[in-house]
Amino acid sequence: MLRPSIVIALTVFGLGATVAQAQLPGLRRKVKDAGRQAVTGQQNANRPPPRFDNTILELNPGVVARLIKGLEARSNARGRGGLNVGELRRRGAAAADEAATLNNQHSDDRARWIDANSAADNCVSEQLSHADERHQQEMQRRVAGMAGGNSADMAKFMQDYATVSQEMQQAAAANDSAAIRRATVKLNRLMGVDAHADTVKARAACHVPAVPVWMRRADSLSALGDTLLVWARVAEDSARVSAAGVAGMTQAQFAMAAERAEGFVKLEDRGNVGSGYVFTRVEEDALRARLVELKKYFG
Amino acid sequence: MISRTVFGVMAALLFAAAAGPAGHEDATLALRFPSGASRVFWRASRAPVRWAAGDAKLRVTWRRGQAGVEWATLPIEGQGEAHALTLVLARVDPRAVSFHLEWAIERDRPEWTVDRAGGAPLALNAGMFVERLPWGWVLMDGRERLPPGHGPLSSALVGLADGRLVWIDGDDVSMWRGRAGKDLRFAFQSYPTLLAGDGAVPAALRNGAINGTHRDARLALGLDRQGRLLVAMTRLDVGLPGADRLPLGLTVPEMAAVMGGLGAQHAMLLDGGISAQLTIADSAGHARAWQGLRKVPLALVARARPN
Repeated sequence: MLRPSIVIALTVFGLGATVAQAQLPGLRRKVKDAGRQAVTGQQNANRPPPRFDNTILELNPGVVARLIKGLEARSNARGRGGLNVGELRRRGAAAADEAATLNNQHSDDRARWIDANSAADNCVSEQLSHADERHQQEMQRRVAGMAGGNSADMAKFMQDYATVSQEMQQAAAANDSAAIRRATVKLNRLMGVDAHADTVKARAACHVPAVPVWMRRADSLSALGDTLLVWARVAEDSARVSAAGVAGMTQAQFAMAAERAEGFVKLEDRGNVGSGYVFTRVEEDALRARLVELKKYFG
Repeated sequence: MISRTVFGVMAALLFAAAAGPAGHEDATLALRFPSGASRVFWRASRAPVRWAAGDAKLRVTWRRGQAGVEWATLPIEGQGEAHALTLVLARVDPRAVSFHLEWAIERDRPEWTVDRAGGAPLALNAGMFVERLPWGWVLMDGRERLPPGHGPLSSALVGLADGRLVWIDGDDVSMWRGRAGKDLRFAFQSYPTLLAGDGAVPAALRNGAINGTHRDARLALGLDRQGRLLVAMTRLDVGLPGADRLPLGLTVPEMAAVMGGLGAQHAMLLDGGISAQLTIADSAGHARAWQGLRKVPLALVARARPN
């Protein structure tokens, strides 16, 4: 907390200096020098040094050299398909961009297709529901016919039904979707139902719109873009670990060193305002000496 | 008139004079007044374990921004490099605006800055990122771009198609993830969690598991008990032009205190340091921008809700 006396003293100093500047060129020069130091972040004997600990390392020449090795390793790290992180990101972005372009070109077409498909979906559901009703009625007639006539047929049917039902229960209990599908096909066959034919018939009757070629391509590119993006991030994560190892730092040390070095590069781009608040003189010299290389990663 | 140069010298001297040894004393946060006086509103040794309500001592004078947005600046002081900070605050009624995530990676580089907000009522960098891509779950326009990240101290903000915001404490987003493509408009994760449940400060922020001494520029997001989105950003306030964006500010526990004091029920940090940036359009529609030093890949933008 600031003591009021300091505030008063410095305010007096500030106002005094303003008046003095007009009268004493020597003093004006000294004030200007001090001001430049403060503004450009040059060494100020009074500034508090940044505190270093187990996470924040002083970016001296040795640490900066290790950091650059780590950054280089990070940018060269390979991910899925042998591509480096940047290539994965670029290819992912290119696919996503192409998908976006296609979607933008056909935004009204997609809206129309979605409406038409939604209406057709409702129609198909209705048709399949009618088909189910028909199958149930046929089944009832069939069972009634068997009960009134051939008891051997009835026994066979009941035995087959029990077998398939048990198979279905076991598949459901095991959460085995492939087995559930197989049992469903058997049950339908036993009941005289051809689900595939019903669906084809319903879709034809309802005029389900085909997926346009451009839409198929856009959706496929979107999916590819997402997949490559996920792969890129996985590669970024593993690259971070390996880069820290190459730099001889912990992951936290490497992350903090990279963040601070990037901050230095950005401050340099903006005239180095306030750099002295964040970096020691040793750090400024070390970072400035490797600025060209650092800009490769942070520019 | 005090010249810029002299002002710079004063700022540097003020900074040097006030930046005493930190970490050996009881950390405090205090409001700064134009008179030079200050009033402590938080003390580490007496920090609440849970913020059941906002802190009445944090008297914020909210100004009107665009519809649904209020904003304020609050001069505060802490220890060491945090001796002179300004908190930039915003409070947003989600019923009055429409939130969007903006993805901005172009030519393999993050490209978003507040200059791209285009006069939006409010915009800020979203999530956390280490290299180029955002960390954790990113869902935009109902479509998942990146899968969830895992870590007990992460939180997520979810925007529903009807405009409501949902906060998820912790990294289990499975319940909401299944609704992608249905009623989810956007979602993203970040870390560390500052407040969870009903204003509880996570144990890791109190027992030293999270570094409690590292100071950095901070940007935090939260939800208050009225369902409003809260934003708090620290800026260094030393009078050097451009120095406000230097990565110096509060510690993580101090940011939890700021959000708790503002009345947040849930809160998390977003990427701070050289990434932190925020723009708010004032009531006349003029953009007030607090720039960051680097471009970011993801932004949360509030736009006026169409009538």
